[in-house]
Amino acid sequence: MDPKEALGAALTIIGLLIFLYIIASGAGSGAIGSKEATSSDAIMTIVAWFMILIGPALWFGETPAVIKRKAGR
Amino acid sequence: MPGTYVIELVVIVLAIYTVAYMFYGRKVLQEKIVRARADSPTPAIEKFDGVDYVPANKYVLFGHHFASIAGAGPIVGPAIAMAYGWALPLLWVLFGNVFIGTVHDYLALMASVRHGGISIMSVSESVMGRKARYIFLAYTFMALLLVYAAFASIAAVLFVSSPSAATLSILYMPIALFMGIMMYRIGLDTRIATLITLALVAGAFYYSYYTPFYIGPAENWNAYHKWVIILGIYAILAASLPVWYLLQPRDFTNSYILFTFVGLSVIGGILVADKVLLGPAYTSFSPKIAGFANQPTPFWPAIPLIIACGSLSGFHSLVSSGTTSKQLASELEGLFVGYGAMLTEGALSTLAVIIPISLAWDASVLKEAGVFKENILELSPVARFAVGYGYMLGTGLSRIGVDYATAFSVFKLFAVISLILFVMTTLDTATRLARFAFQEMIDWMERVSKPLYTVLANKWVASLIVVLIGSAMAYPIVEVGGKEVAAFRVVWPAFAGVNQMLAALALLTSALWVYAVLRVRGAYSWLILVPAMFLWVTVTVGLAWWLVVVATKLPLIQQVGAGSIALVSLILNLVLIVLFSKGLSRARAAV
Repeated sequence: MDPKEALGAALTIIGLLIFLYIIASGAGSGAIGSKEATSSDAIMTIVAWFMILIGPALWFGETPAVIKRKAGR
Repeated sequence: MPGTYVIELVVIVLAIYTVAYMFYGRKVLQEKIVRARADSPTPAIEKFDGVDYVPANKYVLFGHHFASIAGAGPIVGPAIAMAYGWALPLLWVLFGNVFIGTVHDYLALMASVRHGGISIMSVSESVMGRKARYIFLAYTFMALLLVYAAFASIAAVLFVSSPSAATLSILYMPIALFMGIMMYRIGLDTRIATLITLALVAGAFYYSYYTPFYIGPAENWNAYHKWVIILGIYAILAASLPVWYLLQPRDFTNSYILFTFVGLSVIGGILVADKVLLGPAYTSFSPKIAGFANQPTPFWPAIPLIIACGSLSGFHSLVSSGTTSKQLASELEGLFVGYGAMLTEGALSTLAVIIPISLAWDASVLKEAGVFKENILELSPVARFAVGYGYMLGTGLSRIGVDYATAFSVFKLFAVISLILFVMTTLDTATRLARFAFQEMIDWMERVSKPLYTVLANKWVASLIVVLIGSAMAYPIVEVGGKEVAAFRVVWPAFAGVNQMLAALALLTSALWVYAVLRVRGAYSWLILVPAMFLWVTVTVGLAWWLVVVATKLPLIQQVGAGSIALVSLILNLVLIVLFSKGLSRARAAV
């Protein structure tokens, strides 16, 4: 695994864990974040969201073979 | 037209669209005019790069195209136009959709495919010359920046006012991404991946309803500003990452929601088949409309400025010749994707907006519930649509034993959520399209300074430039007419005119491409040229009317901002029509 893939894997896994934790705790408290102040769970949700969006792109990187086949490559 | 039954209109609409697709689309446009061939390689195959040029399954691409062109436009426009009664908006949606909108979308797609996937603005170079190309590109780039600013602002306002919508949007993107991984990495069958995704989306809907997301205090635009920044970062990511990674699976999922939405309106229409439309077929040719400074707004030439997406819209040509043309796997799939998606959008406007609003017009059950006092026109356009949709399905389902009040509130909410879901799709598609336009616009720089060009044309840098300029219009708050609004509102009133001017110019370009490059002559070439000229005249007169009648009644800051945008549009439009005439003369002389 090259460094880019390792970073992608780390971002994906950590992001996913944070995301799932916040979803679970949000279900318990009935909301994520707060109307009064910018809370840490709201910030962590957004950070985890970006980690999940970009992580798999670095981890899996290369265009999937199934798509390359479609293009005859 | 008193006593019109719902089923009459449903049958007429479905019959017209079926005939249009089978005969006008397939026999005329695909076979006689474009002469599409299965063995002709598309840019997705020839220029495959794994990022923007990637062949897609035709159903996936339909989902992308449909979801990108069907934002709020096909809903809000017809809902506003109900001020004319239902007959004129219906006529315009059907006529505009079949003879102009579908032709515009399909030809922009195929012209781009035949020119290596470049935008319709760049295609104009081959028929109108280099000058036309750069004017057209600059014009489009500006329009896309405005779209970015508007949708970033709309999404930010929405997420602050409806925090559940924020939760849903945040959950939705990773689910779509997971679908792409299931399909392309794990190799799961598309149907199984779709079922898992839809189950997750249903779960996300349920979770979001009970778990709002707050980014911080709403006072002093605090939360709004945070969302504008977050959405900016999201837009850069979504517009730069490979299309197969997020865009294709996300829009494929979107299309299921849209299909469910349209399908339910057909079922609702059938369940209330024997009901008579309560709304008037015709009210006035020139009613006063709030969005037009409460001025009497004549149906012609103002209607294209009111109803865009459901009938025709310039933004569609940018999607067709931007993201869609780079993903089309076969020329023969162009009809299903480009033509079919536009027909479906027209069906959405008629079946899910015009008919339900007419049905719910002054329904006593809604008056008793305090939804409105006299009729549905008292509500905002989005509320008209949500109430109409909820009422039609509530009434229909109550006939098979479902509680009316529950069905009404559930489907009213479903209507609003369906609308919200596409705001972010439009936002990141507009960013990607603006990036394409920017990259094409600065291609001359490659000859002057290759290193500078390489930096500026880089997908991340180009997306960043788009987002920075767009955010500079979405972030600041200004005062307009005594109200605090996002800065883009200063120029936004001109957008409808700019967008439809774009449609007229794109259709003229396509018409000239058909005449000069495809060398189609006789009746078939007139089938394209006549609607193109009709649209150009209508939009030009409409924009001039707007400048004289509406712009002068706006607050001063908007008179200057939006007025100057509209004026520049009119001038550029005149320059481009001269270049079009020259191109047409050249093509004639070349015969």
